[in-house]
Amino acid sequence: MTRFLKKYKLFITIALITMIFLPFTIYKPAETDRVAVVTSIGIDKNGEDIELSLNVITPSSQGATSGGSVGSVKTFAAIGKNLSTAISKISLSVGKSVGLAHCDAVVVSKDIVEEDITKVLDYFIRSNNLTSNAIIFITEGKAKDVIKASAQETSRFALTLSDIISFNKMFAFGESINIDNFYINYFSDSGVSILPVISTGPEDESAPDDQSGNSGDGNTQNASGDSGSSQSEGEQQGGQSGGQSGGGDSPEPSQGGGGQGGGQSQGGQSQDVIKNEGKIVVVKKGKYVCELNEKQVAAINLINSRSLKGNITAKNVNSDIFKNADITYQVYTKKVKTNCYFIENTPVFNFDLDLILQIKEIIMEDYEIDSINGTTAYLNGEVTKAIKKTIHENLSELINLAKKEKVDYLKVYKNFNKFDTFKWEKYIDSLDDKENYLDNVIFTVNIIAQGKL
Amino acid sequence: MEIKKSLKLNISNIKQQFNNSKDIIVKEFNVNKLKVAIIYLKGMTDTLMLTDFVIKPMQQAKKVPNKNIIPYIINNIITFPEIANETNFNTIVEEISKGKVCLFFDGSNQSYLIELDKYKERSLTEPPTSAVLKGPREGFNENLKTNLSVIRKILATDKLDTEMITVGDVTKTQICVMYLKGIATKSVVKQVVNKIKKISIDGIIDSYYIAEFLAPRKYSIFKQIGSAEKPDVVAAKMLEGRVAILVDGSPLVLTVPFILLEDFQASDDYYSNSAHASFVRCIRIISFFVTILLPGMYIAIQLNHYKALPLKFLVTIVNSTQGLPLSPFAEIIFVLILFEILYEASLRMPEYLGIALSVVGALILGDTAVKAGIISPPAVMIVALSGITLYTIPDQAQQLSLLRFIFTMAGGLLGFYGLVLMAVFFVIYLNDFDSYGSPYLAPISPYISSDAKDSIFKKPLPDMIMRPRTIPNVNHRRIKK
Amino acid sequence: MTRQISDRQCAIMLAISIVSLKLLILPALLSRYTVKYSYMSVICGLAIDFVFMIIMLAIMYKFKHLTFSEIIERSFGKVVRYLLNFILAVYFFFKGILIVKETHNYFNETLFENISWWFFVIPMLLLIFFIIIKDLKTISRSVEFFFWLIAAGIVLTILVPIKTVDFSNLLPIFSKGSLGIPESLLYCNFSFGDYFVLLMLMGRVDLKTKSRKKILWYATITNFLVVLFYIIFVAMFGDISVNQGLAISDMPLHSNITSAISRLDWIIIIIWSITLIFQAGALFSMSCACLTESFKFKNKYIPAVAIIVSIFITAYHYYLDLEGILELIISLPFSIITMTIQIMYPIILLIAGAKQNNNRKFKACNAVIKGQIKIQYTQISKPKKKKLALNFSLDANMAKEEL
Repeated sequence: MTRFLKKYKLFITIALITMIFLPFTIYKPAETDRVAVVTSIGIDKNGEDIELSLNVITPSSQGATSGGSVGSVKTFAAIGKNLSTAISKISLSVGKSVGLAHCDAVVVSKDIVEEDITKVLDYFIRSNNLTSNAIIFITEGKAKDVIKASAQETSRFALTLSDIISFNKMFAFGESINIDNFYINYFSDSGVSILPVISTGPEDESAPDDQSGNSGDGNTQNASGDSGSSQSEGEQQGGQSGGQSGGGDSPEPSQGGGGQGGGQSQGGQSQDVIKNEGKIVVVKKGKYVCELNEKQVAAINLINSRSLKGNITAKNVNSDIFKNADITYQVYTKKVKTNCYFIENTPVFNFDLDLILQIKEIIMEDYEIDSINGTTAYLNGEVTKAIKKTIHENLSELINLAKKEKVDYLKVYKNFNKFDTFKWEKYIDSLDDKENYLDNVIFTVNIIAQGKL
Repeated sequence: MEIKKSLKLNISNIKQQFNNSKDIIVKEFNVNKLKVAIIYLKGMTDTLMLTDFVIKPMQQAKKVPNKNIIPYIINNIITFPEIANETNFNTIVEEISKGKVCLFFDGSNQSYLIELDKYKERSLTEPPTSAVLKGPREGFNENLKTNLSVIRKILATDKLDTEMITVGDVTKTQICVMYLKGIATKSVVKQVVNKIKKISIDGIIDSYYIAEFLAPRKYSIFKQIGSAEKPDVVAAKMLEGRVAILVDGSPLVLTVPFILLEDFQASDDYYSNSAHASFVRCIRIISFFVTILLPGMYIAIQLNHYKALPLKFLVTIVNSTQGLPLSPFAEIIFVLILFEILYEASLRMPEYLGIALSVVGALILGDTAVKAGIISPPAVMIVALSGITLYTIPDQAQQLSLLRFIFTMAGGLLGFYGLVLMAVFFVIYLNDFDSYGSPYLAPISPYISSDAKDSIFKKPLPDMIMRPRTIPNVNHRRIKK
Repeated sequence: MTRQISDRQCAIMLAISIVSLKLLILPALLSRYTVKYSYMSVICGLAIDFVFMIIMLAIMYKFKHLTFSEIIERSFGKVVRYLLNFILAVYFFFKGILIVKETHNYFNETLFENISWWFFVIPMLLLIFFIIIKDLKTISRSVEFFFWLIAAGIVLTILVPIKTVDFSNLLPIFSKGSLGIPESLLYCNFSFGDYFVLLMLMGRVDLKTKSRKKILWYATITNFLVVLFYIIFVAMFGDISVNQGLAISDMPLHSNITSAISRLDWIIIIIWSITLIFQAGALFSMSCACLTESFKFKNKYIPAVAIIVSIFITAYHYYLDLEGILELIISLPFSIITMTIQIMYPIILLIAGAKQNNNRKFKACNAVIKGQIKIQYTQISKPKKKKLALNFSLDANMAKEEL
């Protein structure tokens, strides 16, 4: 016997392992049958509780034959005292455990941010489920509407959250605020983060007809219809389980528009779609402080070295060629350098902007032939002055807001602390109100603008 | 039994040994009053040459001396050169059964064996698993002598040494151990010869019988003895210091020592541009990993690691596997087995049925089963891809087929963890055995920098000045200064 | 003693040992004390290790054909040899346990939603047993086989986020957290001390003239990569470094590039798993070898089974509780013991080396005569002991190294 065992020890070991583990594996369903794959999360305030909405991928058997990633996304919602409770309720209604590994967006409503956003983000920083690359968005309305709008695929021209994330990363303010970055900023000396704002609104009437979507993408029709019905299911179940657990939360009435079948989209009634207007809010230590206006957004994009493109409009330019012209230039390339130094114990924060601009559009009355000529429309004298003036104005607004609201989104503290720690600490110690360090900081900007033909 | 002086007795003994079979042909005639008998097996002798070079000269001989007639006949009358004296009766019987002609003389207890064996043999065609675009296309056939001659044609040197061994009580198979003196190491040759001599078996039908005896580890699934079906390949291997073993009746020549990387190198690589050869070798290595790991990774991802897939991939797979009656693990094992069945059937089925059954097989698997919702398209695609990449390294096809199953089981049972454990296990296992002094995974592990010129990447021939250090050899220099 | 492994294999085993315990949990652990100056702790720790490594190499060159046990026995006697081997066995055992628990935690957090302990431990123990019973030659060859993959994985981890990282986040260089550097080295010293691998390889490496340079180069480059890793880690995570319990997979995940092309970190996870499993196997194998030396077992199977049973019991005791093991390892008594061990062994070897220099009874004679290398040792110690003479000659024409 021992000889037999010695001779075939390897084979016996492998056979034993197979026999032990095989019964567990042979009937094991696929993980996606046990885990609900979430693509985006929405968090709203519901009285004292929070309302969590999740977009969950639901398999479509038609996708098996038609191929591609055609599938439906359903929105499930639940109310709970905290995120963990809400997620458990959703797990119950979906019948699977919630898997956040593919979630790329967390949408939080503004009313939560006005209180403290960290109350809802704490779950995610501790979760090994969610990848830390999920981007945080703020919405002025309900996060649930944004989530629902992202789930709809009735029109291929409608924005999805993934589109916005990709776009923002490259073309907007270039600072992706994922959860890790948010906490890095939170624990920094300034505690300030800037977060993008998205909203929902009715689809434009001029948007292309849904005919192609109706005929080809049968799934999406069903998705929208189904999502309506399952939304109400999810809500009811969430409400029911809430009732069972003694929470007594009344489910939100299902949206009348989405509750019916696919007839809604077929009938031509407009669905809410996501709108990205490039708005930014400033959050300090997790709490909402202020929102940046258009000029301030332009300025903050300009001084952020990672953000590309962007336009600068010089207004009322007068020169040989131009008369009261509004000239728009696109930022072709830019180099942004920040310098921090002290002049007689006064901190000076300097921006060096080296821009190459390309003329994009001229609006004026009585065009002259020279104004159309690219070489003569080159950046010169008056135009350069006008551009610099615009940039100065925008930056001044930005800096004034920072000083007024005491929000250091320009990273003044961080930069001074890095490059001149001793003097900066001395400066801070000298202040009565240590939070108000921006008041005495002098901001300067050097702009070099060159044109590109 | 001994050879008698009486011709009649000898003839009757021979006939008795062959159970009076009608295949035994006995031709008796006189040469100057001396009775001579020629005995041979029908169908195994070149009767034309026998007549022209042996019988006719003997019958038409004039001036045959009365004394020392037998040596005179052998030396002066019979014009065929390959003639040898034999006194052992058993050897005579053996040689007759191999097709040689035996000459008996009345009054002499000596006989002579003439090498006039000739039987139908296959022509030297290109082997199906070693096809090349450019280069020699000659392959081996089942005749040992032919195979020997083909190799000698390439290695035209006096340093080519052979040792003939007969193995098999019934088949009496001739085995030839060939090596290049001054290049191959004596210890390896000695080891091989001793092992072959120790084989005590009734019959050797194919060279793989010998391979199993020569293998250091009998129960291992891994190939431990090299093989080649083309003389140019065998010659090249011998020039590196390997020992070749030719078996009569088998077109497959064995070579030792064997390293795993050998099977990733095709003869094509040496007959074309080195850059292209390097590229193709990389493709083979990638194919190797795809074959063994792809089904395992697919099942691991499905059962345990959905996070690994990007969202769009995940949605595709989730949609495709919706509503299947089988669990993912059962499904993949089912498809793998189905493909193995298809492969076996296509190998065995008659040619005229081949096309029809292939179409049916493809339709059943590729279309109907998927549409019926029994199996999913990704599973079929994965297994099919794995099956195709299997044959980029045909010499390892059997091992890879088994390994594929093992890794699929590991992936299914324990996910990526199982795959990692299994990979580590096999690497350690392979590093533990050496094939006749050559580390199995050399020159990768242990890393031998001088051999890297012809491992995964291939450098041009002028750069390969030295013979590979992986194979034990004596004369290291290949290209003179 | 036959030379089983090449200098390159020795260097690779050292390099793997350096990275294995430093890139997973240690960054977060060091950040507990240093906030965002963990890279400085690592620089100091690696520098100290490097010095000890040079000492070890010098000893290896001095006694090319003697193992650690033989050196100790000839200098201090058998009892000291057995004792030191036993301590070494325990030391390697605990290092291996830490790696097993780290691996379990790693798989639990990254690969699986929740892996059953039995599913994890049983195959792992079988594989470790398989590694332990193999000889050094096999293990070193296997490590060499995977070396390029492991090196590529580490380089990938460093290169992928490098473009998106703002290195100015490392500034200011000295701030409040920097005072924690000595403290972190004290409490986290168990993750250092990689030169102990050389103790086990003494007398088994085919050392040539250039081998020292090769080994030191490998060690230097590995140290440099580790330091670079820490610098990028700190630059990336800053104040929240302490939260990144699995640094090597958190880093590519955090990078924008990987999110664009999805989970590139999975490639790194798989490569890193191989590293951990190999290192665990190597450590337990060393522990087994030391136990065999200590108790003079006839074969490896008995100590191997003993080690497997011990791993099982220890791991079960700390079932799903990496924190428990970490708390033990960073506790003051344990840290002091391990630090003492790490300093003690090189000093003992230095003393042994000095002792044998002065010892007339011990002579080593090397002669190189026209392509033939003759090494003759004669030891005449006590009258009761036999004369030991070892003649070793190599024919240059038939040079056949065991690789």
